[in-house]
Amino acid sequence: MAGVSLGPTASPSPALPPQEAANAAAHTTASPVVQVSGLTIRFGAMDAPAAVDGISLSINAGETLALVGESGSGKSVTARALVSLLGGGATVTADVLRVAGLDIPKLGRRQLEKLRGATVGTITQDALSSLDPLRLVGREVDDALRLHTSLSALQRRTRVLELLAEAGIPDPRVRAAQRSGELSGGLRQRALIAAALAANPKLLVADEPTTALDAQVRNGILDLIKRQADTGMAVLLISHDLGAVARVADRVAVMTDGRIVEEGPTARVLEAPAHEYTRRLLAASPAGKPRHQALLAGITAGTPTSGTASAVPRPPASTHPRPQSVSATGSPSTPPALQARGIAVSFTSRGEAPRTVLSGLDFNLPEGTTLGLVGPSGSGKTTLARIALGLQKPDAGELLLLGEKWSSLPETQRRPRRGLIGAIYQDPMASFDPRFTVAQLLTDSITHGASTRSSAVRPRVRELLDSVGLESTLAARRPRTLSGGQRQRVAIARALGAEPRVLVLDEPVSALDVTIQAQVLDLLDSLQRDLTLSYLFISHDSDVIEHMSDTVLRLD
Amino acid sequence: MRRITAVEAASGTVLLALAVAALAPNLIAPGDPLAINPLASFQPPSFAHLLGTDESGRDLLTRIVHGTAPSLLIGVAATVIGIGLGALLGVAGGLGPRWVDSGTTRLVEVLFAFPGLLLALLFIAVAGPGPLTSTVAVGLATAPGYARLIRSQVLSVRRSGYVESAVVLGRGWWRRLTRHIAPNVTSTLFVLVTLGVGQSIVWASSLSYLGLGVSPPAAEWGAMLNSGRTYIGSFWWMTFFPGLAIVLSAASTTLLGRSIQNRVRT
Amino acid sequence: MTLVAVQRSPARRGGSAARWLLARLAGLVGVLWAAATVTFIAVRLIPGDPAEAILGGPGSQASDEALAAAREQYGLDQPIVVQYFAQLARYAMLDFGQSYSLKDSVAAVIGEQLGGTLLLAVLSLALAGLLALGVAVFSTRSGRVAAAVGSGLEVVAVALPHFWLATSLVLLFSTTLGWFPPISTRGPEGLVLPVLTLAIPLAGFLGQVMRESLLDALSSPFVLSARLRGETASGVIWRHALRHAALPAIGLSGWAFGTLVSGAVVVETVFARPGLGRTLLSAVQLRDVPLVTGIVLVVALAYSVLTTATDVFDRIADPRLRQAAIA
Repeated sequence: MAGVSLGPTASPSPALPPQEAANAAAHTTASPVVQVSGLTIRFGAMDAPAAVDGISLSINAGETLALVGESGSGKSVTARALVSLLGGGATVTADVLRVAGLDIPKLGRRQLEKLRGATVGTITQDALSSLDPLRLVGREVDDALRLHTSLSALQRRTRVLELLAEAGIPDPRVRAAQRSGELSGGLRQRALIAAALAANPKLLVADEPTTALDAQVRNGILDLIKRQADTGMAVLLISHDLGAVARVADRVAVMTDGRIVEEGPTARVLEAPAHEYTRRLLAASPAGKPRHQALLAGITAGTPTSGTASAVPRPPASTHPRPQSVSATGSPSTPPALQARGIAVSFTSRGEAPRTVLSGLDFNLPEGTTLGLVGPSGSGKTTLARIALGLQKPDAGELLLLGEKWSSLPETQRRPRRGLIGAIYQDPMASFDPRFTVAQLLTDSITHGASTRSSAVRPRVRELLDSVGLESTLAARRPRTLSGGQRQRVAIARALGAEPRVLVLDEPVSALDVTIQAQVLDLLDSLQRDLTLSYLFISHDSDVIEHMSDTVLRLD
Repeated sequence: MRRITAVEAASGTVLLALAVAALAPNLIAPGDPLAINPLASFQPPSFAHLLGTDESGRDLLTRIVHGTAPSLLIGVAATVIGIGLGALLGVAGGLGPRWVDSGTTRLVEVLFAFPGLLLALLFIAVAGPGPLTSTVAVGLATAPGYARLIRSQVLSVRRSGYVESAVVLGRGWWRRLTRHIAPNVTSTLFVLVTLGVGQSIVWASSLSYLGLGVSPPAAEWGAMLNSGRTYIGSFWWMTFFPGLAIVLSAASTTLLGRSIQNRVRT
Repeated sequence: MTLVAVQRSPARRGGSAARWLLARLAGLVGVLWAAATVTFIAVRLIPGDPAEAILGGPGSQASDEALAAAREQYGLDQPIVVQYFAQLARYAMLDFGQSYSLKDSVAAVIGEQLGGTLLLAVLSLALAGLLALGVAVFSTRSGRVAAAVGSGLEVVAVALPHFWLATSLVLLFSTTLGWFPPISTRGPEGLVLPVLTLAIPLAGFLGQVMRESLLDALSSPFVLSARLRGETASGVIWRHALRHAALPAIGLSGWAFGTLVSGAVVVETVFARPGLGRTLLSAVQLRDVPLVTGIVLVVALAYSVLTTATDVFDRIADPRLRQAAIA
């Protein structure tokens, strides 16, 4: 089978078993499925910085190349360029840009529409929004068959069910008749993969296919992708998740600022990185790093892109007496920061049977330690966080804060003690009043919402900014002009302004890039030690949880 | 600040002209809008009378210019009534306890059951026609729409992350209201007013056209439309030009309101 | 790091569609009852003798016998609560009383005039929908014209009063071009201008709604996925995006019907077409209270039923409203 032509007649018949397809692929000529050399992509004006700056890569049939990098590195842009789906404002130049032997820049609109789906199948991240919520899942999978094959409607129906089954979806007949909202995250991603593979493409591009999925589900998706490579498909895996890369990829290319800085076999790159950026990336990943080991210690503070620390964070002076640093078990005389006895919560929506979210929950958070909270979506992590913050009352049971009643207190008695516990969220912008500048946010926190012109406020604001490693010049700016990492630091500074003893952190680093994430985690760690803070830490990322937690509570 | 677009410049100019016409009509059109000249009645637009004359020979241009103040005033007054009522219901529903919210929502739903002008017509049937009642009628008819918008804005601010953060930080109800909820809600109210004035002007003039609002010989645009009603086929300028003034007023206030909204959003 | 506890909690879900529908219907009945109450109160607010008000307001110079008959028919001598429930009972049986100005039962008058208005409303709604669709699809193209069209839609919707639009259309098509008659005649050509007058502002509004949701859909991840599977440019619009754009517009059709009926008051007057709108106007002018309340209540009934129907349609068509997504 010549690996060059395009269109329904070229792909193996849908009923061809994988083994034969693999044989067919093995007999192709040795030319790579993807051949890129000197690819440069610019958006907007000719003097705008290049989003992709002269990169080269190649992928052979049956091979999996992982393109690793942080947001803004140009990986997704590269993937889109392979199917010429970048939009009108992009200028693409390349010495070589070939997919399955086809010269991409020379293809017309119709040929490109044929290429997408029939030759190149793409999976994007976040299957909830990548599948049309109004369409049946079966129809989404059927699209590529309808567009690229000449099968009859009945034949297509059968093939759709086969594809769903091959993608590991049980009860395909039932699922094909549902809409994406009725499937769980893992099943949705599998359906998306089935849709991308429907017309048997030669190249599979998987753009962050496992973001926000739990570990078990994630591994299932990765194995599914690996199986495709085993049948002779070329796979381009784009990911920032080094664990996923290690599991699936044959080779790795590390990309930053539009350039590929390192490339090679997976094992070699991950164990013996040659380039400094790769080393920083590996250091920043919390996987396997023990507790209290700073992730970025000894690595330079980073390129001046986003969320950089300009100064080493210094702990703020505090007016409250603090207990001395405590070991993980806590000294028996000090009460635990949080203590839960028999917490139960049920959720009733109108017209439905009540749903038990939490039941009979007991735990202790000793002072100065971190309790990691994990569990699949809907397991009650956020509910527990809200109970800890006094935003929700449990149906049964009680929560004590620093040894005293908390969840059972009426709000008027609770309010004066609210300064003891603070919150950090995944999206700090949602917790900032859109009218406030950074200085106003911090001032509001320090003065407990009163308007004072006290001269003691300004230096305290500067002190708080220092303690999270932000320059004082940022005080006059609005949070929406800051980067994600900077915003999260502002959120931490604001929480510290009230001088809390306990912090509830709900996915505090999930929206951040790996290196920025590492900076924030290191910051949280050093603050915990300097101020003897206690953390209730929620995350779906098990690597982050293992690195940051002294004990872990798993909800189901 | 972004550059001023052509649309914004155009609507701003129109509004400026309207303001001058309202405050100092004699600058643009010296002359008596009520002066009758039976010999010159029903004249089409000409050099002497740029926009023509009406059935009593009165110059249309003068009447339109002098009619700017009362016409715009009615529109603004109706908007104020509508937003005032709407804000009362919307804020009560958004901020108050569940039973208050239920009550006001039910009331708004009932008012909504009478679409468009029908509520205004019902009110006029009870209170009789006239400029005052038609203004109140338009306010009543637009109030439910504002109530819904304001209520949803109040709710979305009240349930926002930053108000919840204020709770976590220990701020009391009053502090949250004055420092966070009120400022964030009032900023949208202003845009609502600018968008609403256009609609009120149109509705109020529609009522006058139907003979239920301001009546002739007052130099108000709606009243002029009313007198021109019977002559649509023959003496079109009597309806067309006052109507054009209404369209320009409504269009320019609406466009300005939209551009303010877009600027604030970014 | 130690694993401390594993907490299990079962989740159960029950069916709720029937309950929702029941709740909506109950709400509908509630609104209708409240509307009837509002009109009852409104009528009692008219100053002066209620019997006179019913017969045309103060100054109607109704005869004493007519006044006595009115008092008896409406039970005006009885306590207000009895009057109220009696009136509700009458409304429930669609008995709206007697129109004094037309010397016929209100129900009969409404029955005669309803057809004309319905015809206008249905045709205008259909035309407005088609226009809105066309304009929305056109305005998603790139280019200055398309963008100008897009932002002009809202102005068209708000700033074109029916009477002025009617005048201008008559001016253009009747006086100048002579294509269509200025006053409605029997044949279909008499429908063109009135329908256009009603449809254009509505098309502006619907078009804007559709355009925004169309643009939204076209830039969404699922459309990107469709394109990545090889969907053609037109396929993307017609097979994928349009469904999303049409939903809010269809959901608004109940409300749209209401504004059309409200606009019919002016349009029927301008074009001298028979219908509920013109009848309502003269009833208001003549202070014929039973006729006014009858028409207003019937319109409120139709409108409420329609908006409930579009709510039901919305819920059926958009699965996102029915379920919390299993994440």
